[in-house]
Amino acid sequence: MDNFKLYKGKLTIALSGELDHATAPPLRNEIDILLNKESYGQVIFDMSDLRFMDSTGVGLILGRYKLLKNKNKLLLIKSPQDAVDKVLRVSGIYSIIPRI
Amino acid sequence: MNEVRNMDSITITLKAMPVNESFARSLIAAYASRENPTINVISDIKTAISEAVTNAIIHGYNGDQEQDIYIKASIKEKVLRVSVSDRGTGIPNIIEAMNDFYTTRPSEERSGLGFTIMGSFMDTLEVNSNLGEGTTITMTKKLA
Repeated sequence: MDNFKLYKGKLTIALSGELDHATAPPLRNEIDILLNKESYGQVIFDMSDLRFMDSTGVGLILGRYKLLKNKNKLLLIKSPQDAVDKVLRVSGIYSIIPRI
Repeated sequence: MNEVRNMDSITITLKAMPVNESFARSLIAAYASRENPTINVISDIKTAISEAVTNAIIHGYNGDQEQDIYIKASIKEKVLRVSVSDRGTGIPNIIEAMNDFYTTRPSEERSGLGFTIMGSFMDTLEVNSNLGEGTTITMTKKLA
């Protein structure tokens, strides 16, 4: 995770690089610390700089979705690159997490 | 003799370490690139290899990084054939394991989509597994 931005209740978290079984655990920790610390109404995963993601990333996103749903917060996915978008489409994740 | 001479193949052995996932997928993608596939084809291959190697690390060897993963790849008539093997625990029920969202590790946030993605991103997918002996995942993809 490179950075995050909180503006008018929207917490935007920028994901970058490659998201797989090797990189997911530290990223998950960073995101969860942020989600527990900040005050927000909705969370946006900005994926425009994420070059690669496999099903480990789907697990990470679904985990955060469940966590946020329990807090009545909305999760959105923003600007995935084509390769990442294909993984998300095949996973069916867009049926529960909207893409913007 | 001609068949042997024309057989374009590579074999690599990797430790079952998560850090090797990116190396494995990049290596096979680089190997496949000699046939000038599209970026989408390369992306599909990288994703499928990543899933297969992750499977071997997590399920085959239960995270034991001392174990080895064996990858073989060949190109024949512009078709990539790649197999990823472990000599780990094996899969008790392959049909069950290939179901969408099936995972033995929900607490670890595994999505249970590894085989779904391998099957969707590659042209063919074959899984051979024997309990206590290991698993071999073989996939093919047309490169051009």
